[in-house]
Amino acid sequence: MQKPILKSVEKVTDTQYTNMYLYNYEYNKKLMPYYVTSRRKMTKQNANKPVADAVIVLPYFVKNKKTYVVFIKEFRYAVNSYIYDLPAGLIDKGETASEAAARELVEEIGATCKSLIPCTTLSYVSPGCFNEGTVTFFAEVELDKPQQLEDGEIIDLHILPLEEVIDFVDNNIMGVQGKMMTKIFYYKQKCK
Amino acid sequence: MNNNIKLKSVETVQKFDRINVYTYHFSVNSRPLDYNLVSRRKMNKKNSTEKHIDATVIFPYIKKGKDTFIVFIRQFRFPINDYIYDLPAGRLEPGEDALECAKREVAEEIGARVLKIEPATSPAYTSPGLTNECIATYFAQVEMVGQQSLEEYEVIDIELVNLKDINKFVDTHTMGMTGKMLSKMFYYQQLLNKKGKI
Repeated sequence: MQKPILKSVEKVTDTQYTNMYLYNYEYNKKLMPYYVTSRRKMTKQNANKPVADAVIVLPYFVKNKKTYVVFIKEFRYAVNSYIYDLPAGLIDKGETASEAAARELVEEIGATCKSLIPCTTLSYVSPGCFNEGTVTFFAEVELDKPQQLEDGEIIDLHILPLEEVIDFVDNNIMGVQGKMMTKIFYYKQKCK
Repeated sequence: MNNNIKLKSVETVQKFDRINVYTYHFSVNSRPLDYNLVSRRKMNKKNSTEKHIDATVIFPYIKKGKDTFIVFIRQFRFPINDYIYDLPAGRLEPGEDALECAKREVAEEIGARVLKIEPATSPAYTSPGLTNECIATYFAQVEMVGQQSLEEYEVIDIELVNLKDINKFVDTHTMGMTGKMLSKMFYYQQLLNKKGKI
């Protein structure tokens, strides 16, 4: 089976954060155009380079021997609704994924990160359309400071004991990573 | 939370064959706020909050004696310009529900028949900062029965991974997010089951 060959990359929209690109492939000697959505500036050279664009963090703390998970309730403009989710954000220039995770915890939930362990290594959120790469972590936190929200960010905290998180994610609209990370965390904790 | 958020209008930036780009014009506490997003659907002011499922992802496993194997696919993903491991997945066709879509994708992409299927998560957004794409995910016990039926641009190989090796496999390969996470979910759920704690 022949590998498709990327011949050229054209930018087709010009918006601030997310853009569409036209990838012109040659496959079995035929031209195959494919539209790709990206947060980055794409070229023929960087098209196959795995990049972590964003981090997602499951924050938890232990109080009186009970474990609690910190969810957020956030207005998501792309779905025109408030939805529950886990803290997440884009990795800034020059920042590592762990640094971005710690920063998002301060900004979105006002927490200090005490320890950070990876949940999954770099993976693609929706590789049929996007090249967005994400890294995920479990973070033990201490809620000890005010949130630092950006203009237009609307985030409330929703703290639940571990025993309630499975029902919660099954019964609410959320991001899919948030749901899956919560279930992984729950099962892992219960396996201990 | 006393914010007054209203979607004023939906502007189509550009339409493509698989996806469309929109600008949502909001008013937040009487101040304008523009937000770019991409969608698999045709969006307007009225359907922006409508519940819907765009696609399904299926975690197929087979039982062989005492062992369980996960059926991964290795597929050329054009947005990544590379082969990556992943799970069977695909968009709902018109008139199809999520469960029918899941069974069809399993048949087409890995040539298997579903014996038992249950939701892994309830429907959820893949990346709600960027898109309103919403997916349903399933765990499906399957039997390999036939041939794949692939579309011309699909390049898909099948790889079986023993459940015992799954954590290491997903940690050391480049994959789609749902593939990695559903693997870990399944692994720990089964482990817990074995310990009699579920």
